[in-house]
Amino acid sequence: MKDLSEIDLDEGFLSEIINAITSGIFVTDLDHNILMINRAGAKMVGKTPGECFDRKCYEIFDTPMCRTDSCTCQQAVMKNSAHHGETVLHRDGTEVPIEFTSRPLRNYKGEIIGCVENFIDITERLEKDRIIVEQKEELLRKREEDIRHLQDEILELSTPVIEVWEGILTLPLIGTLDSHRAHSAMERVLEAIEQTRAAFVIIDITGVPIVDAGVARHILQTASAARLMGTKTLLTGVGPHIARVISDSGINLDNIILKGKMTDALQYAISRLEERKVRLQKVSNLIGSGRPVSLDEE
Amino acid sequence: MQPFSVFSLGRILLVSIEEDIDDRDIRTLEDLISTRVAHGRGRGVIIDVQHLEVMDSYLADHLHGLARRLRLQDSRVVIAGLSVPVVMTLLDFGITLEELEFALDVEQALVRLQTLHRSP
Repeated sequence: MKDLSEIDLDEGFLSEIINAITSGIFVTDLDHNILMINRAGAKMVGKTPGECFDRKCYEIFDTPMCRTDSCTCQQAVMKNSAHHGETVLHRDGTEVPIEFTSRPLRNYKGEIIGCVENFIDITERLEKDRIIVEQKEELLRKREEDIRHLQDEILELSTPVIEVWEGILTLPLIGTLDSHRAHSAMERVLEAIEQTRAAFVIIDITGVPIVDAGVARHILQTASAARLMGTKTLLTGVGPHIARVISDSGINLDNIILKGKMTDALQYAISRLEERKVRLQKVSNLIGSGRPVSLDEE
Repeated sequence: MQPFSVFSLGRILLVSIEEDIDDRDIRTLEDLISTRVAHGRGRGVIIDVQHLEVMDSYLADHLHGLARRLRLQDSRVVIAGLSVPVVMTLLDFGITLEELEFALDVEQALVRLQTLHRSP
């Protein structure tokens, strides 16, 4: 290994070292004239060191803070300390993001005569940051989507509308009924009525532990909605506690047929359906036979 | 062209309302039904609203009023074919149309009119 003292530390050798550094380095005087710039620095603005020499730094770099009070040189000189930051420089019309550090440059007397700046291209780093942020957002979005999907699923699972007989739908409610769930139950009942043309809906609340006036109102509203579609609502599974709540709240259940158990409700609905079928037959016959439909026949 | 059509089926009046019925047409229709019923042409009135995409409170109000008046003329109104979105909107506005009767479709409405006439 060679002794350091053997190396000739002349100006040429120093500039070799400076040119070998991959980050940009340049020196300006207090009038923004570039006194020296290394190869990497000139390359970043698409020039050679010779093309930059003795020109104004703001012409070469053209950053947003050039020729303003926030000029990094001015800041470093004013504060008499290093000044860091990030900005963009312009190379042939394209923007290049950079990170820079400026330090005041002193002569042998200790007077500030200019400024030394080093800077690096941070395009790649910003790109990586951007990708990380993007991936994070994507992940969050996906998670939110999953949660929403699960919530929908739970809602759907918790309010199943089952057609137990042709023309009879049942809605066995289980668990606590909040207004959101009640609303979705109502919507599903209506959709099911439209699809199946059901004449009866049986709502069973055996599995609902707590019924307050709000829940009772929701059930009533479902019944009102069903009525508007021409469907009767039956309510079963009303225990003594729930009966008390409903009677105390003074809610009018005129639109609802109350039955004790699901079996009673089914029996009632089926027998009504049979009667209806006979009548429907009669109506069809009347229309089919070409006789005018008369309501006063019997 | 009127945005509604009226058919006589024996003593039943079948009225079909089109989507673009306006307030003036509603009043015309009301008068028409009322007159027909007065002439003994309708013991029951079926109003088919399956083509309606929205029912505003004006129409709802008039249907309600019509039902009340026809009851005085010994006739009944059944609304047939309300769609789910229309029902949801009506409920959101708190319109329950207590005095009216409803059926899924015209066929069910006919059955309904037949039943309830026997046991008033």
